[in-house]
Amino acid sequence: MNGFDGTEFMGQTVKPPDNPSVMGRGAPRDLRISRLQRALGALASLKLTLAILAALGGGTMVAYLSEARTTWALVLPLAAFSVNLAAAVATNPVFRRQTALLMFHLALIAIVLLIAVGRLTYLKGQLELAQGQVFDGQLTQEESGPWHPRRLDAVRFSNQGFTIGYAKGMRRAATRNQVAWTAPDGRPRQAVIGDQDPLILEGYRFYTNFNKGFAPVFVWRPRSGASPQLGAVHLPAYPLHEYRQAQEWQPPGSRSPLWIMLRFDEVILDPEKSSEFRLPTEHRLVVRAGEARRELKPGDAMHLAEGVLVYQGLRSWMGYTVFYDFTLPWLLAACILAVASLAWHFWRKFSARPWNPPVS
Amino acid sequence: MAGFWRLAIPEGPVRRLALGWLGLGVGALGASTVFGLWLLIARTPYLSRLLGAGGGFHTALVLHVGLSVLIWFLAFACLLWTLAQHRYPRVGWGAFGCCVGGALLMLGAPWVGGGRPVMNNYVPVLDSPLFLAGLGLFAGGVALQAAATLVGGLGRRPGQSGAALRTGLYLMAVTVLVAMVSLGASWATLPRTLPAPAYFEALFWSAGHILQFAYTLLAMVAWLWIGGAAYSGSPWARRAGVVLFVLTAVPLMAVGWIHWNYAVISPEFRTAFTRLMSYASWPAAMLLGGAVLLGALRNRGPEPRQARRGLGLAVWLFVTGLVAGALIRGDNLMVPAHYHGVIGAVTLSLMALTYRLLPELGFPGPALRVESWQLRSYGWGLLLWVVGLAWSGSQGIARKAPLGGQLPGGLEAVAMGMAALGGGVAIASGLGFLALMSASLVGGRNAILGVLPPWRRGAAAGGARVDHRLLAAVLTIGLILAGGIAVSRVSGSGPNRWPPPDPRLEPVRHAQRARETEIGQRFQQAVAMLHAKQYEHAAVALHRVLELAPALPEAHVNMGFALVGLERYGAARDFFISATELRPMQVNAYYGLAIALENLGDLLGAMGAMRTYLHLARPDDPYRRKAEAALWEWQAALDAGRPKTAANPER
Amino acid sequence: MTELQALWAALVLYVLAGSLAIFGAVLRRQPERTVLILLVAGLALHTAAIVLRWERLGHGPVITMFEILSSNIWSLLLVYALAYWRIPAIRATAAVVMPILFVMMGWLLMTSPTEGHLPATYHTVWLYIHIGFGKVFLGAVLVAVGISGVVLLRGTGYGGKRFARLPDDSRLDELAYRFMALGLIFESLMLVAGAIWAQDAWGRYWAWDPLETWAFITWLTLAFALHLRFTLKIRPRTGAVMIVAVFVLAFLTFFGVPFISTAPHKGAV
Repeated sequence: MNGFDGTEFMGQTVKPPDNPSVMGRGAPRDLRISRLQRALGALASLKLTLAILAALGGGTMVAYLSEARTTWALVLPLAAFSVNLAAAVATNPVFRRQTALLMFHLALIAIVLLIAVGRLTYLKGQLELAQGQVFDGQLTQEESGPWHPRRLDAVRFSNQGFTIGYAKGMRRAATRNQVAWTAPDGRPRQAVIGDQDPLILEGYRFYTNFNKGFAPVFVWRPRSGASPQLGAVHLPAYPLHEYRQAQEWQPPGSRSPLWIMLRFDEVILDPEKSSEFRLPTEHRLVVRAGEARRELKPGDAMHLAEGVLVYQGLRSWMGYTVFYDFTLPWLLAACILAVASLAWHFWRKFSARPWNPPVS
Repeated sequence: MAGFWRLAIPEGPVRRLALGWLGLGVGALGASTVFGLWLLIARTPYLSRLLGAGGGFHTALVLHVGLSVLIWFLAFACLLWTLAQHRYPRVGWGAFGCCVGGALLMLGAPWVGGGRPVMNNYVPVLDSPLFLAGLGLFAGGVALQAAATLVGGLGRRPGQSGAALRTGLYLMAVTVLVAMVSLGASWATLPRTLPAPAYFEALFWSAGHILQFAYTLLAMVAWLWIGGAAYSGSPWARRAGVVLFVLTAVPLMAVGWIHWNYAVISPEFRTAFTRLMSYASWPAAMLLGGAVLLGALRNRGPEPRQARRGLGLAVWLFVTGLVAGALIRGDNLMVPAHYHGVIGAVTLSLMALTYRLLPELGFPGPALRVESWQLRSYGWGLLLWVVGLAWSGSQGIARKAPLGGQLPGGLEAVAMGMAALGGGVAIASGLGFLALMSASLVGGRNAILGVLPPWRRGAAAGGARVDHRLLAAVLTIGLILAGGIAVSRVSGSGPNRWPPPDPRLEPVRHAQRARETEIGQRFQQAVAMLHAKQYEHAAVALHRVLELAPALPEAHVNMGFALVGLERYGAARDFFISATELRPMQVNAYYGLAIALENLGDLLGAMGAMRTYLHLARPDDPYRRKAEAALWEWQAALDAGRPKTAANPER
Repeated sequence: MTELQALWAALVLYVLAGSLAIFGAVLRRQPERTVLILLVAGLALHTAAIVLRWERLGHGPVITMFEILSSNIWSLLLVYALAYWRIPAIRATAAVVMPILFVMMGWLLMTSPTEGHLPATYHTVWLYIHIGFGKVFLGAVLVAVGISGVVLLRGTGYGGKRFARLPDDSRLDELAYRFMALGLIFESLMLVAGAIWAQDAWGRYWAWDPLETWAFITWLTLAFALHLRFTLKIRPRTGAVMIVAVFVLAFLTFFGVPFISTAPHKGAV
């Protein structure tokens, strides 16, 4: 058969008679092989492709409407798509000559595989750091794939403070957060991250998010004689929770919780003009322990049943989102390859024949 | 007749040498275009922030100019000289070798411990031995070729085809040699103690101007070649052509006179050459350009009109450049508008001539439409660039610097944006020219040799057994792996901000910082004044602080003390009170308030304030004792009914 | 001239061009050069309006509905004008395409031209890359829709006579297919650029938020339509219907979702 001009999908699932794999074998083997060929041919059917595309569309809707990102509604059509495509690559004659088209479809398979690997090894989480605090591998919120290699414990960086500008109308502008860490070669490094500049350590991408607020810092001296500890309490995010700057907190080793509230009178973020997030110049910290209530200023100590609470002062805390997916560069390369090869295929196909050839 | 305005290209070594010169010229033009792109980005509003601190701008400028104006033009000139006269092929090859070597040295100099870029006019240089040696080598090669052409041309036969063109080319050779001699004379007499910018400016001033005459002749040759038979209608037209060539070259006889009469660094020397070029270099060229254009428009001659592609735009570009030159009033952007106009016209003419030469050199040229597109886009892009620059120049924007922080607004930005658009189009077109030439030279070679590229061999063999699947799979996996590694190298490097933020969108930080700095400075000033008992100055400084930071309690307190020093106790009291209102724990405010109240006669109030101070002050506060003493005194005074000023014994 | 005056003038020119094209189709005349000149003139004025606003605000037309409509009208007409110029055979499709643009222009006139605030996540070049690809995609699909509209209108008696001059249905179908192929390329690029942007803007490259989901569904539909062509022998009219469906999906995705959903991708983060 010489009807292959290479410019059209033939859409046939019947093998051409000069296919060497069918010629010249004994009868039983013929049957076996031809059954395999038939099965592959069926799997390679283009009509099946159409059905899978439709199923993928449905799966997308399910994923969109449901909470989970990875659902069977998506995984099954993608798996079927890979099988369908692999079968087509093995049997459909058009892939033999049209290299670019084949590369596009292979790149699609690669994308599906890479996304699968990514889903197995990813991590997403949240954390908060007060100014001066060092990240020690603890996340406040986390979701990860089953095969995620936990390297977060090896990551250390400290939050050195931030500035966030606000335009009129309290619209958040740029976030600038100074962070410090030790490079693998032992040298201390510093950088300013924010908004779209993550800190990338060990493949983990730390992004500042829009949560930030005030953090009163305490020294807790337990009466039990254990060593004093320095800690910061993260009050609810500001200005999101402007009027609820209170938090309940249990000092380490104590049985009764404390209730802490920050009070200040000045306007930090004025909607009438552009401003900046900053600590209030004048503030009071209300601490309630059971029946006792004190208003603390920096330096004040409060004697409680289980220890002494010394208020050091007010600092800020910054919220971070962490993301890990090591397949990203290869995923990007596969996407670019897919688009480039498809474009190349279309270019060659369309320039070979005009759409409106002159009527002879 | 048709052969009159062109030169025949013989087969064999001459053609190869001509190809060599063409390759050198086109390669230099391509490299220059790439540097031109860098420069364009650095001078476009908004895009210039991509390049950060304008790194390498001046080096890029030096190379852009050198590669285009010197190497591209002179290599093309050598190409035409080779075609005009090939009596000494070995000398020709020697010259070619020198020029290639020189060009490579110049190109490599920045990477090998580059020298400082010197922004002199005409031939900007890198002040490094490597670059200057390369420049010298290149100049030597060109001089060699020019001399060989002239000597070989001495024995020419009259009536040879292209005789008038040859005349123009010989005159161009003479011009280039005169430029070299002038350069030598300048170099010999220039004192070496001058600082580098002034030195090189003076050194290349005369040669640079003389070279412009050579380039004008080059353009005229190109116009005649392209315009071709449309121009020549009669024998006197041929003679007129020769006369116009001669008219362009003759003013150079003044060069010797100028060198004899004026010192190289004198202003008269500079003005003489400027005047020479501004008045004498272009009239003949304009006449010729007009005549050729007229003939082309009237479509005379046997060649089809498409053969004269690029001619009209080249002449118009030349005129625009000349007009811009006439409008130069000082060193602003009108100057680059002028020279880009004329130089662009020459480049456009040479590009068009290259397309003409390719088939005669044995290579397939690009399709007519593509060629026409490239020439037209180059011409129009440059016109837009020139007009944009001229417009900016008329508004006085500076030249030869990256835009950096200069963010013009309004019309200026439109002018520069227009220039950027035109420049971008021209650069893209220049790269397109390079691509077309490469395709022609590389593809053509294969066509000549009968060798098909590997990806076409399969189709040519008409294979029904073709199976690329393995190749496709290997390519796919390999490209994804390699691409992923490349992406991870580029993006995994950590925090970066690209493009850098627009400072206009974040005024808060900058205004804030500026204010804080001023507040700090003024406050320190005030404190110093207070210590020096300069209360008036302290008050002035504190006024400013209070303007910027009205809620700063310390400023209120210090203002109060300044006013106390000036004995304005009522005002002082008000400031102390406002300080305590702003911050009830402002300790010193109570001390000051006590003093102010005492001097206002309110002893009870003063005592109350002083008690508050004592209550709040630290145990080791040095003023405690004074405060206690004052309190005791006031108590005693109140008891005794006598006013006393014990709190401030200095009074 | 202020930006709004320039915009208004541009819209007037577009309306003239469109009306002329419609009359031309109805009355069987061919005012093609005039239409092209009017379109180009309108585009020039529109460009000036956009540039002036950009220069004044310090950011591109990417935030408010007004800006997005204006820039999309501009880019759609730019792509269409290019196709109009380079493919003379299909110029009559202006009678189908311009009414779509009229709807958008009417909508534009009803929106308020006040400024918006450029969110922190917009300070990146990927914004422009992503939007640029999206514009080319929409433009290509629009051209295909114009051609498909003609194919569909030919089915009616009225249309059949008016569009008789154009090439026959199978050729138009082939051309529309080619534009959809171009659209597929650029939509893929748009999705990739969007994912790159999203990764650093929101810490993840894909989260099935409404805009991402609907854009992906549009991509799937486009892939489905292209696959349908060579799987089953479909008639030009069926292909045309699929093309119109893709355009409707894309239009709703881009103009509907961001402004009715409250998820972060609506463009105000």
